Amino acid sequence: MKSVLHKFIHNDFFNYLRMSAIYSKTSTAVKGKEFAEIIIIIINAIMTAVFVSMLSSGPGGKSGVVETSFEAFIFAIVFGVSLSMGINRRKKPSIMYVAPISFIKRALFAHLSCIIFATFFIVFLFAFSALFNFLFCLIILAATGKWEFFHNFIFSTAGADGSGIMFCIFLFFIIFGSGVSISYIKKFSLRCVFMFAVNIALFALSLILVNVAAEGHGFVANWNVVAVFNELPKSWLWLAGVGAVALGICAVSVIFSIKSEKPKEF
Amino acid sequence: MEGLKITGLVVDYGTFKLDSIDLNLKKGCITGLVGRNGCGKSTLIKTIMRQQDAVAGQILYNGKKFAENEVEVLNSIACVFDAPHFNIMAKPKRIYSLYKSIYKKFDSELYEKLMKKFKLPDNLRIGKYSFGMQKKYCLILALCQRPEILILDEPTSGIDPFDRNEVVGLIQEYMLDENNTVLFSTHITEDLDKIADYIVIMENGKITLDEEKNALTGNYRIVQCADINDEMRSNAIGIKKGMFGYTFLTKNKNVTGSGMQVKIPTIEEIFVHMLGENGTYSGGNQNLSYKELQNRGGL
Repeated sequence: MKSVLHKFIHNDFFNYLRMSAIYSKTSTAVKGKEFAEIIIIIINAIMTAVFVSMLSSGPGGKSGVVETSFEAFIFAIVFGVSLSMGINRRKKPSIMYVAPISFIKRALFAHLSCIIFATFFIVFLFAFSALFNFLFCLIILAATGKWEFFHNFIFSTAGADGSGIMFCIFLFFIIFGSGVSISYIKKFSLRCVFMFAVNIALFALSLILVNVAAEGHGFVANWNVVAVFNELPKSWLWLAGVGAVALGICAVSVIFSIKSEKPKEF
Repeated sequence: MEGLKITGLVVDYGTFKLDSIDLNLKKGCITGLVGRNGCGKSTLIKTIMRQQDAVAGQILYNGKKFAENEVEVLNSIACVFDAPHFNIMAKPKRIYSLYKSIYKKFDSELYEKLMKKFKLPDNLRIGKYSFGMQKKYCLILALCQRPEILILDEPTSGIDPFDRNEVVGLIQEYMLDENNTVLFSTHITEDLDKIADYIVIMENGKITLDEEKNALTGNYRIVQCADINDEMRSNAIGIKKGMFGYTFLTKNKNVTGSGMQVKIPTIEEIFVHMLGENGTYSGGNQNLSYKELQNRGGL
């Protein structure tokens, strides 16, 4: 049994994934225009947080009141990190670049490792959020003897069905894929233009989704993106659309990556 | 045959440039690379290891182009960089299993042997290792890949004299296979005195000297004397005035005089006198001052 498990964990696929994970962690520094780029990445990450939190602001945008949520900041961090991957890529040496694997594998596994680990991260986030809500409700119940919060918890958990969580994961793919794709643009000014373009697109998506969603908002903040999404008419159709866009953007990112990794003679 | 052949390599950072580097590393030979801080040694090594893009030039690895033989080349080359190129938060066990799966020729027996030899703890994160221990660990990983080309960027810096001797011994052992090639960049020129076959000196992004070590040390003499006359001055390279007189390098092997001490120079002495402020570069048939060469764009 142990050897089967050992073989499974130590096959090439997982080894490359682990190597990619190590590669992502190793990279840190920057070369040239790094200060300006870091500032722009931070601005963009904050904008992402604002636009994602607009999805949480309830049907009709609720007179533009922006509710910042934990989830929005997670997406902001994802965008910031994926954008900074471009800066990180310039920092070598890394085990990923000296390991004897082809450039296609290198590009694919760098993406796969990020996507797989991030998906786990989002699932963990939801599980942690549910656990946190549950414990919070327990404390309130113990302190006050009121059951209303538990009702709220059950209501909010029910809001997060499969399609809602999938929407969150796809949203992550969109933000991650866009960030990585942008990081491969060589020209600094063009890179900046695309960073802001992603946020304009996110803003448009937020407006559409918030306005199309039905009335009946009032969940715990962390679940709001999911809640708004779940209230969309024909949400599975929306999900398919968002999924297609997400996969398309990630594919573009992989293509850019393969193109960039292709070894050239000087 | 060349293990590594570099032709017309140009790397441009904007503020720093590696200019027209031509270098042939012969199989079965250790080439020592020396130069001042910031002269471009690490940049050259990173470019060889494809960690840095070049503007122009060509690098052939065992006669093969990288673009056409990417995996094969990466399998045949190993490098000890100036800092670990993997996650130092990992424990050696994890890095070992990763390397073992990535490098098909990875020698597990040698790994175990060297870990014991250098007394590197297996249960400590690599980040917790001292600088010297990290260097030793990187060298172990590089050697265990069984590469045909070994590139070392200051592998002995931060290592105590006893272990440094061991490291030098390991490199010598590695060179028992005549198909292997080593490029050894270091500031500890004493190591090169022991094992190098060729010496390459870099200055301001250019190679200013590339010569066989024995020929280099054999062609020069280091002279210490109380006073220096005009005739001696005309043949002297890099005259240094100390408390007890003058020290200089000369190509005149028959130099004699009263109270004069003449000996075969070490690599360090050659390096210091050639690249010192008043040093004179004597490459080929030229005998120009270092500054003169710089002004003429020769350096």
